[in-house]
Amino acid sequence: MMPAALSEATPLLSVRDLTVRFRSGRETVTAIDRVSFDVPRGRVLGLVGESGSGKSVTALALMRLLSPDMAEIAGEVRFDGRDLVALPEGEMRRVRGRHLSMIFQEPMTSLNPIASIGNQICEPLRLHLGLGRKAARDRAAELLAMVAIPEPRRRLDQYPHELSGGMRQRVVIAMAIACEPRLIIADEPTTALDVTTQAQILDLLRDLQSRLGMAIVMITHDLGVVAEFADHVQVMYAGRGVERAAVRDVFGHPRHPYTGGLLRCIPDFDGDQDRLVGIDGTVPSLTNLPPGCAYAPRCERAQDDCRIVVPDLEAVAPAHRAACFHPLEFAREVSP
Amino acid sequence: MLNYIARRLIYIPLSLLLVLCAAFVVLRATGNPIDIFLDPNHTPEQADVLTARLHLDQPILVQFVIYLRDVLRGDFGDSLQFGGPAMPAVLDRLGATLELLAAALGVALVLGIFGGIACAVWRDRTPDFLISTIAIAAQSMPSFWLGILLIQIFAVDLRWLPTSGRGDGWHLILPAATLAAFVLPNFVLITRTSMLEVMGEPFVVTGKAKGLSAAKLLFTHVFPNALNPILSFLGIQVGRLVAGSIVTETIFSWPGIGRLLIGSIFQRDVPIVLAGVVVVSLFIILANLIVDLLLSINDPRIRLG
Ligand SMILES: Nc1ncnc2c1ncn2[C@@H]1O[C@H](COP(=O)(O)OP(=O)(O)OP(=O)(O)O)[C@@H](O)[C@H]1O
Ligand SMILES: [Mg+2]
Repeated sequence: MMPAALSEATPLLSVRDLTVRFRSGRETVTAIDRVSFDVPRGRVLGLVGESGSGKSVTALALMRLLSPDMAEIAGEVRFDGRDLVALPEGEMRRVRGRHLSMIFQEPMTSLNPIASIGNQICEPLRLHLGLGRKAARDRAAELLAMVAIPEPRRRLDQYPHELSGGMRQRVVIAMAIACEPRLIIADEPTTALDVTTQAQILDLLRDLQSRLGMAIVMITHDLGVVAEFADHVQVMYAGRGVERAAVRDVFGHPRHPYTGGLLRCIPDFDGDQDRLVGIDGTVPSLTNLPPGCAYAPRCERAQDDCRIVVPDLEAVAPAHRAACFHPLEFAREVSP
Repeated sequence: MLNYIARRLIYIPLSLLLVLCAAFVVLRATGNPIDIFLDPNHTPEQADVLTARLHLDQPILVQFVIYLRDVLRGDFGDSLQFGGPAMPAVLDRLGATLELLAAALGVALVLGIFGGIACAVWRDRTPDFLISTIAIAAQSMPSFWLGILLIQIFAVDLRWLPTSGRGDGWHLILPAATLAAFVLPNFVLITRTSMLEVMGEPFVVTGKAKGLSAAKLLFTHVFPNALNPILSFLGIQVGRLVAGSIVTETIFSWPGIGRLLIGSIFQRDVPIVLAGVVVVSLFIILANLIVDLLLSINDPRIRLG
């Protein structure tokens, strides 16, 4: 399937200068501004940031699920050697659900309320793998068993409203892993669930990830989840990437003041806090971004240059990038 | 499912009883039956005989019970125009009315749903603009006027189609088109609205994320969900459709229940009017039952909830 030249060394997903602009009337809003990151095969990237920082838009742009009427996508999304941004829609359809899947935040609304669970899981199996009715049903039951849903056979004929939120999210996950994709984008898969269910779903995802060798882009508010789950972290702020490194480095010595602020907000890493609170001020509106660093108005380290020029995401240490002119010192300010 | 049907079935006799009550009140309010059934220079003996036969000397409650008993036996009295029993005379016309209703409803549903889907798919572009504008304009067009216009153009000027009456398929075209046009715009608009609403639902994004094509998504996920409001609306529209059929049948001399009812009202043929009202009510009740069934087949939340 994959050309030999693109084997192990090249990342599975390589995003370069991804930019998303929304048109509304005459105005355009840049929701994502030149975001770049890599996801190696079988690894987990955590995408974190406050509400409105552009995490969901990034995910939808990767899947090309934004309507071209509304959103303009630029940059490069190289997935398994192909640039998804430039791919014709017909070919993109063969990637979606097959090699690249998505898990959504709201299990209550992300399933079709009037289609049976079985039919919804069978859909990608029949579409991408060409399975017949019977084979797809058998496989769907296996998938339900894989996501630890009891009595999978019986569930196939049930409807979303007969299932609890956690069960529905398991169904959504079963749907996403149906064709054993190489990459799953999980957009806050546990935010809508209660705490116990959250932990179960995360355990399930981690278990599936190691069993199937999938890569995951884990979008979350919850740094605790990132710490436990991810290999690398990309921190986003107002549509821009502000820090990117291995989890150990980001948590051990954050360099961007925003990341530092985020980490200070968590009392401990057990993750009973699911919203990021505690940094003074609010995320600026996209239509009204300050000229320089978007974080400058809230940043205690900001100086004049920060208010004029947008800092690039540059290497501050090997394999550690931060978009800051005055990064935090390499010190153990925050201990994991 | 069976449970659900049973629950709906309970409402049929209740609705029918209400209709019969209303009919009884209207019947008594329209005037003294003696004056209706006998010609003006009747003798007092004739009046006494009729009073006894119609139980008019009994208390009103007893009269109502007798009336209910007769109606339940299918005895609506004898028609003044035809002499014979009223119910068979009405049922004779049922076929013609059903034919007209079926043709009109079929056309209105198919065109309305496809028109509405087209509007939703090409939202705010030319097809949507054209179809929506026509639908909104047509909504305000009186159907008797459209009927007369169609007769003028296709029957009188072009001589392509017969002006009135019932015969072969050609006779059906103009009245069916007139009646269809009466409800078609509403179906276009409700389909458009409900399709657009469903298109904004998160599960549509899920479907797209699975790799479904736009067309597949539209017909396997969006439309089935948009169908519920359309079906509910259909239930409401059946009454309007029947009302419209009375006008249409009158314009086109279509020998159905509607025209019979209008004629009988002018003739003060109370038994026919009563029988006609009961048949029409039953039709509307049954149509709504069918709509409820379709809704429950389409939506598991109704079926199982
Ligand atoms: N269709 C759209 N048109 C215009 N702007 C949009 C659209 N969708 C999202 N945005 C804007 O893009 C920005 C990023 O939104 P996004 O949903 O990606 O945030 P997020 O990081 O996922 O937040 P949350 O944590 O609340 O999910 C927001 O300011 C939002 O208003
Ligand atoms: Mg989001």
